[in-house]
Amino acid sequence: MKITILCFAGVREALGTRQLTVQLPNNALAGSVLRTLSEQYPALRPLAAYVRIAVNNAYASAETPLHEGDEVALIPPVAGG
Amino acid sequence: MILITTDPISITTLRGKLPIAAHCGAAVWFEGVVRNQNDGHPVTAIEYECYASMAEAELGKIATEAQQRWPIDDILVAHRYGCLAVGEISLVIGCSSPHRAEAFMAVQYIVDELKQRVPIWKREMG
Repeated sequence: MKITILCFAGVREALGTRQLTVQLPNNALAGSVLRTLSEQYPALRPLAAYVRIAVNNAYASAETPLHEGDEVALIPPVAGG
Repeated sequence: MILITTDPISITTLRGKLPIAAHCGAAVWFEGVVRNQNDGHPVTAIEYECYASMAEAELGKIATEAQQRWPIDDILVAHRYGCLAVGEISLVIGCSSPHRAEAFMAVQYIVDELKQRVPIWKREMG
């Protein structure tokens, strides 16, 4: 399935884009996103350990299942307020 | 009420949006302001980036957690994003409750959790 991924802050700067798409197996879990992206985008590798995954506006665990049409986001360490 | 916006925010403009029920004896407010230094470096402005839909959702969860932890009534959180100059207000939190102790603790909790969880990022410019 095709998944669209939103990129913010340090991830956006490292990958040079606000969003990208990846192909994942139909039963992929959230934990596979960073693995798959790190293979395709070396610039992501130094950040990957610090990036959290969000699915449909909520933090996901590695075991969160993904579905076609989900909004997935890469969340580097936050700094609001 | 949760407000994520690029428009200017302040206690003055938002105070009418926090319900203060007749049994509430306290309304505690907080403003986060852009200051002119960070880590020893001068700052002229902060660029705030925001994943708005998730920021709103996560702040909603934090507000609900505060209401479950303490006997407080209503909460208002407003965060502004975009380019903010020194002196401009990035964050407003308001909380009404029967007694003041819980309102102070809830506001502290909301700021602390926001800084750990809410998908907003800042870049200082100076």
